Amino acid sequence: MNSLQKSLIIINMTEKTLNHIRPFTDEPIRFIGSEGEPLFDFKPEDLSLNEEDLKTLYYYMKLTRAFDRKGMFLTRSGKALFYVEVAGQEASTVASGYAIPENDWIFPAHREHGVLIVRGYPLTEMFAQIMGRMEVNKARQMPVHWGMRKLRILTISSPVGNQLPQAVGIGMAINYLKKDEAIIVYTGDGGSSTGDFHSALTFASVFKTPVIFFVQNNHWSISVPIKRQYGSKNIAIKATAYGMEGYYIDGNDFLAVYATTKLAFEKAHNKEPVLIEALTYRYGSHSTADQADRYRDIKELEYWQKTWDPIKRAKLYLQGLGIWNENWEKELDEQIEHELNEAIDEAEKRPEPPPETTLEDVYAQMPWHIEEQMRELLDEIKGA
Amino acid sequence: MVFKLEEGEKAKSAKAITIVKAIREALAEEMRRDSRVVILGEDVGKRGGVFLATEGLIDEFGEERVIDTPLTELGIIGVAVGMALYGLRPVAEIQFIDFVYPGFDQIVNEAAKFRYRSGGQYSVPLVIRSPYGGGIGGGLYHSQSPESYFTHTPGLKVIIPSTPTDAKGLLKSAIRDEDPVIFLEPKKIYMSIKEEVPDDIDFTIEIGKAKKIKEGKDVTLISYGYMVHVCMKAVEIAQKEGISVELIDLRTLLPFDKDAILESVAKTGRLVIVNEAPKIGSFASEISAFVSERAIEYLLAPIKRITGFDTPFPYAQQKYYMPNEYRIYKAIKEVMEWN
Ligand SMILES: Cc1ncc(C[n+]2csc(CCOP(=O)(O)OP(=O)(O)O)c2C)c(N)n1
Ligand SMILES: [Mg+2]
Repeated sequence: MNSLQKSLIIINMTEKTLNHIRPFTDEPIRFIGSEGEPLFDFKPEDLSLNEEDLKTLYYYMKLTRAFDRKGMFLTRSGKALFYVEVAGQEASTVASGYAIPENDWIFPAHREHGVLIVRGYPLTEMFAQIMGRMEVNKARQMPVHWGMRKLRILTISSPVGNQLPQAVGIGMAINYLKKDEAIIVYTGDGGSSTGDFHSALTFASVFKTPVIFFVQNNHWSISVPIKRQYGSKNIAIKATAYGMEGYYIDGNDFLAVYATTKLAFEKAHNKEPVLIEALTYRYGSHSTADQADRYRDIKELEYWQKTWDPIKRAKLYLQGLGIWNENWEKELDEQIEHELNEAIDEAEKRPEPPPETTLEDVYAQMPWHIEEQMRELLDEIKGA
Repeated sequence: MVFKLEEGEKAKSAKAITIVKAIREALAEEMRRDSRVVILGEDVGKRGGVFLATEGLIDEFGEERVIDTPLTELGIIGVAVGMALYGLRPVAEIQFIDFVYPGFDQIVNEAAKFRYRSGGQYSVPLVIRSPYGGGIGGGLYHSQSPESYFTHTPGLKVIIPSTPTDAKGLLKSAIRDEDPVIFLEPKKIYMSIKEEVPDDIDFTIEIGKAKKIKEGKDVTLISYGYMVHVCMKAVEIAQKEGISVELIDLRTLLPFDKDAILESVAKTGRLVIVNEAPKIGSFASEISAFVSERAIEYLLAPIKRITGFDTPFPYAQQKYYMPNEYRIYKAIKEVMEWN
């Protein structure tokens, strides 16, 4: 029995679906068109999704977009100093996140809010982090640098791309300890140009690690367009050079993202590392410290919003199935608004991290020189 | 490329071993004790490392635990960080510390900061061991002493042994440590110093403790790594001239042993610090600043730093570059005669 046959049994996607997910396609893999119309004859069950799954995915995508609005609002109102928008990339993040098995690991980059939200990262924790309130990482990093061990989500750092070899190392450790686990690691089109990317794919293919490289190609790396990131026809094709499979997918098609990621996990569990390039588009500026109108033609943004919006397409698809209606949409909106407001209220009640947290957690045991600095800091505070 | 390492003087005991052998023993013992310990690096497998520090380990532990890697230092260190995050105890070998820089980001931004940035949720119990330092005709890129880049990085521990016993005991402690350790091995004396080394599986040396090599009352001389041995020669010259020098081997640079330094300086009132690295920003400078802040009332003379020059490390000019016993002795004499 080859690995794909084994996959079939485990992931319950039908032949029809699997035949549609081919590596190295010229066009992005797509299940639904820009109007949410199925592009070939398939049913949700072919992707092993039921009505409940579809509605859940839709809810999470809406929640992620609404989260973004709150994040921007908190920044504008001075309650957060910085924020990174994920708008436009809801399918890519939410649907890939939905495909991640519970016991598997996630190493996000800085634009994977949807992945965390689907995983069940408490919204209060997310907002507390953004506002510099006490949270599981003790609020030492800039906004959107989340991570939660309990959920097997690694705490991210700012340098673009350097999580990639670490994920492979986790994969090597999984192999060494003979665990049936895998890890998905995210990066962007910019991240795909780093030396870390090359080293990581080299190690992954040499050591056959259970790793999925998920590149969100959102067309921009701050102000640098993708034609300055790669001379190849796309990013997925780079996998060829590493003897890996590369999937070029429509990242704004929640079904394509879900099904491909699911398949990738099957392969990863069979020790076949996989590269996925999800084509998507960043609606906002790079961050609240950036102004996209300085370098980006608004027409490009409008085209993506009008034609390829991931939430619009999902909604039209659900409509086509007859499982969407105006009332439900309204209920969802109200529920989401309520959830987010409640989480923000809770987060605002959190204390700021106490001064001791400035000096703790550098080492397992505090060495003398940091102990001295702790005393100096606490004396200074007492004196003030 | 072949490096000729100096062979040691005839060992006094048949059981005496070199620093390389002591390192190999430390690795083997820790691998036997703890199945989470794995080794990775270039040529560490069948070749046993270019200096043979891992010789034979692949035969005992197999290629799952002694991993020959692709040639990418950022990859080696990056995946080692990942392994450590997952709960292994990787020991990454960087063939020469001069080649660590592509992996510098993984050390400084990742290994060193993971515990802090995650609020203690994650840790990186990783050892990066690597030959460092000059004296073997390695020119610019096989001779460097970059320890200060690492001592300037909170979250790391930095160890530099100077004897087989210290190398073994400290490496074992480093592997058992919960935090990332940069372990620099003075390759000049890899093979030239031999001594009997404890072979008790639980023999370790505490990280952060200096060693008094010689008691003295006039001048405190502080060093680490190969330079400790050059200092010993200077101490002998001084002794003949009637100057009693106290020689301290720091062994651990971060966190360094403040008490050993302060006690000695309080006694002698004079301090000379020796390291091979360029002077500006060197670890000698840190010790100098520390003593100036903490013990100026004891000082009878200015503190002297004897270091490499503020140049790249040269090939044919190696003999001029490396601090020697005469330079060190001259500094000792200067602080004795200062008034
Ligand atoms: C190594 C590194 N260089 C530069 C930066 C500054 N920076 C932050 S995000 C970014 C662009 C990243 O682009 P991409 O990987 O495509 O991700 P996106 O922001 O589009 O999601 C840059 C240049 C950084 N954080 N790290
Ligand atoms: Mg991008």
